[in-house]
Amino acid sequence: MTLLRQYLRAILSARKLLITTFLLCFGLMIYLPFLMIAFRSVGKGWFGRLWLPPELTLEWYRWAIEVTNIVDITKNTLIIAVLAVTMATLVGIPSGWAFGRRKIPGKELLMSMILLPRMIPPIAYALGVAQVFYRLHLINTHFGVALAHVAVCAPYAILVLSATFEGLDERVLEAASVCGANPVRTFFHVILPLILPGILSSMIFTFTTSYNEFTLTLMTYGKDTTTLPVRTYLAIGEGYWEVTSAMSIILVIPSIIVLFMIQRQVAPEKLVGGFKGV
Amino acid sequence: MRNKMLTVVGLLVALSLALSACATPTPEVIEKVITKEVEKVVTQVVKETVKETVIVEGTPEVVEKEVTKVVEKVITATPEPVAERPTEITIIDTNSGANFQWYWQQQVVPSIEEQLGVKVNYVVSNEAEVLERMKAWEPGQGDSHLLFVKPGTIPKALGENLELETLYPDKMDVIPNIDKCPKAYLETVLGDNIDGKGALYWRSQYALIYNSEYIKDPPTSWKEFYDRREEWKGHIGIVRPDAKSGSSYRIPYSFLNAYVDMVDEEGKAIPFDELKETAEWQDAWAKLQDFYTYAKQPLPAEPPNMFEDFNAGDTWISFYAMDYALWSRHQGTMPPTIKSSFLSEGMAAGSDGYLIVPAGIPEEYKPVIYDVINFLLSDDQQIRLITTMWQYTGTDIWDKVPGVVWDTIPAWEDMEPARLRIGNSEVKSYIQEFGAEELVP
Amino acid sequence: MLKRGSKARSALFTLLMLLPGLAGFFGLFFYPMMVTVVRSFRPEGELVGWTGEHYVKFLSEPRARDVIVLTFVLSISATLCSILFSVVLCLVLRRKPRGHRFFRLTMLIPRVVPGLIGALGLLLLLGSRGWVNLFLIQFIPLVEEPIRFNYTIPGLILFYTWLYFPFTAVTTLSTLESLDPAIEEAADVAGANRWQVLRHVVIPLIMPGILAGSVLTFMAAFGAFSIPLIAGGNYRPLSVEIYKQINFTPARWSAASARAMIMAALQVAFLTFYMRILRRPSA
Repeated sequence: MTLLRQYLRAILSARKLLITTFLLCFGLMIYLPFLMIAFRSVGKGWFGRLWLPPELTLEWYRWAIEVTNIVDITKNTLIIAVLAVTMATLVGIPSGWAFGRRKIPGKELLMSMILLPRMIPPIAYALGVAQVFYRLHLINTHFGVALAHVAVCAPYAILVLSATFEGLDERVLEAASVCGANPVRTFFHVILPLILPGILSSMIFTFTTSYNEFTLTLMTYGKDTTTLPVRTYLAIGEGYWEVTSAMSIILVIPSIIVLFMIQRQVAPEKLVGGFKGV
Repeated sequence: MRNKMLTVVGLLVALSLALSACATPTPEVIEKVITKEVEKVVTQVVKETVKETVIVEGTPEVVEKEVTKVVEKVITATPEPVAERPTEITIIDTNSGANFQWYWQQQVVPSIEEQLGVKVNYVVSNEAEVLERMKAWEPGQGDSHLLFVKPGTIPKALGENLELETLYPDKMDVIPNIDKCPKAYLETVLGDNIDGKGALYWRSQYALIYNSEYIKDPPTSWKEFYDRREEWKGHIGIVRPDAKSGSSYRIPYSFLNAYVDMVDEEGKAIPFDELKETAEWQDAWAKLQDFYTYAKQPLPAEPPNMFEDFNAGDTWISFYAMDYALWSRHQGTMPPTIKSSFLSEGMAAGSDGYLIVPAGIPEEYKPVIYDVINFLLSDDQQIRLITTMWQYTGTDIWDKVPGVVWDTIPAWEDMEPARLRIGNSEVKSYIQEFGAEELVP
Repeated sequence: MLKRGSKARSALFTLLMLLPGLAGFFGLFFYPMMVTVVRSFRPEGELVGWTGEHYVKFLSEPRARDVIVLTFVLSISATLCSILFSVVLCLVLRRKPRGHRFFRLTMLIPRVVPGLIGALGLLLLLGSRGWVNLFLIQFIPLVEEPIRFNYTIPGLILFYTWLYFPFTAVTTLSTLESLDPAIEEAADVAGANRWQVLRHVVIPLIMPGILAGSVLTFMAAFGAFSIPLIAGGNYRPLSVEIYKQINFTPARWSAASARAMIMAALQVAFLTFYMRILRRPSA
């Protein structure tokens, strides 16, 4: 065996070490950017080539709150997200039910169609959305921005809810009616508890999608409906990245919290949109 | 079944295409003629006690003194019942960087609320967005009452047929302080006429910014800067010519100005087609192209990227708005060793700040807005600009500015000869449009 | 046995239930796309008349070719890197090493945070005074000057990969885990060593999963907008070109629409081509 092969063999036999190093680098690569932002948001006097800022301070957060109105902006973001979630869920439940429980000709085709807004990058149709909204005077309204978000939130909702409804076993419903429950009771005591987890998970995903949405908001926002992602983008262009970092931390925390909260309830793969039959 | 579906989809596609092709025409502009009778114009002399902020000499301390001022207030009496005077207005700011956003939010807006009793909704935005939204306004229903903009926005807005109120000399009776603004600035901007549609709030000045940790003896002229460029190769900060910031054209324009005259003796721009052919221009342009190769690569896309370079110690010397650099140093967002100095042939004026009033806002807001503008141009507010933010005032009140300010920034009389107003807008446009191809190495 | 009328009613009811979804789709996606198509053929600033000048002007610029090539280079490279990285990661994770649950979650982080924040963090981390460069300068003897990652093509590819690899990783992992261990055991028994099992059995079997995820990665990378906007520097892919047109005063909607249509067309074309490859039975 050649020397190279021997070396490779030796390295690969230290498999465990290799794996640990690999996973360590992977973890670092993912988390270090956020750590860096965090330090930047509390650091003062961090000039030149230093590992850590020499002083720590909370004044950038104070600046973010007082000068950039982060509180109002967060309020806007939440209002829009709630509106988007409501609309997406209202759209998702009937459609999900139809997809999950009824035979529809060309179901695959329709499903792919519904998922198109998620597959085609928003910038391509955000232009059209902006132009339509200008004509309808929906620009700079919470409702307008939320409606734009529904374009990317609804497909998720429909997807998750159709899977939920599909999983609703007919036999359970039959059993309930055999036991003498009328339709209303069946709905509240049997159906609802079964679909509630599905609805909840779809609401959570729609919420994070709307909360983090940037492109569509950029096209339809106005002075009263600035959201956190858009404000952070503006802040990157203004300078004082310390303040931008503070805003980013405020922006990122709910997403991370939600992720860790729900990781036990729901298969995380759904978050990424791993749908079958791409 | 599949064919049926496809037919249906196809029909729907055709329908949507047809619908979107018959776009609704832009709404007709209905002109509303509002007649207001102004009966009596009364000038009242009123004594007001105003809090004035004074810098105690020698210390960074700021002391508030109560000063009794004699102010002339113009009261216009109208016979007809006017709509209730609005007490809440929206100011859109498309000019201020991070430093001035702090100032507006923390100093100006509270002053307006305290002294005029008007609540201000202060919003930061950008020019493209604001102009686009103004175009979509219903007549008389504009919701952005006072705009604080960069100079270039005014000719752009006028070019888009967005009407602005003429403030000088038409509204001098309600905005007496506008008389203290230099007339040249009220009449033209970046080589274009604005006919008094903007009130000058501040004058910004570009200067040489350098990090004294790395540079002990900065150049004192552009020619020296160019001749000594080898010393700072790879450490010169030049923003890309197609950046959104004004520094994109101010840096090259000031450089060119040191080698070739772009305006004639009367201050009128030399037509670009003529200018291009002259030997001085071609020499100057070649030097400029060479100069860009000595900058830190890649060229920062916008000033914040350049400031990151300063903070990292990669960029040692650049040319940017003096007020931003000095205040950032004061705030701790730029190294404490930052200093500013002069280049003798001329340094571009920065983004002067103009206050403009769209004509499309409801009429009852306009008197309030004029009062606010007058307040912002008052001596007290203007002095705060220069003492807190090291920004030159919009009004010519140099004798009233506390002397201690001149320890940090050059006196206006010394600075003004080197202050270079962009007089040739063709050159500016050329740099912005073709600079990316021709100048970026 | 359902009566005919009942069946019709049921079908009507289904249609009714589908209506909100379809209405949303048409109103918020399809109609705006059509508006963009129509607008791209209008003269700038007008609402009537037809012209192909925006397409012609854009495609005849030498810059246009560079922009399109850049967009493809970035997306394809990012997809390839994602595939490589995801395969390794998933093979490691499938053996359930210690802390594998944590790493599965970590895999999702780039997708739950807004792309902007990830880009900002990477800009800071890989900057000339970021921790990566500080580490390299202090601990790797060969490195004297900070290495430039930001605003370069390799750097951008790294950014894209960081942001979009989860799509590939998730599908690869789920395909890998659904693999019947009996197949690998059979290969093992038949005398193949670890590498041969991997190369000839496992990888071909999970190829559909890898490719499915990589399609998503490619599409996301092709249409990436917020990342090149703030971290692209001199490099402006197609999505940023579109946005730049709107940022002029007056906004050039028609020019922007033309570019958006070109982008959508390229994406659909490439996707169809890619899907064709997917459909082919694996050798």
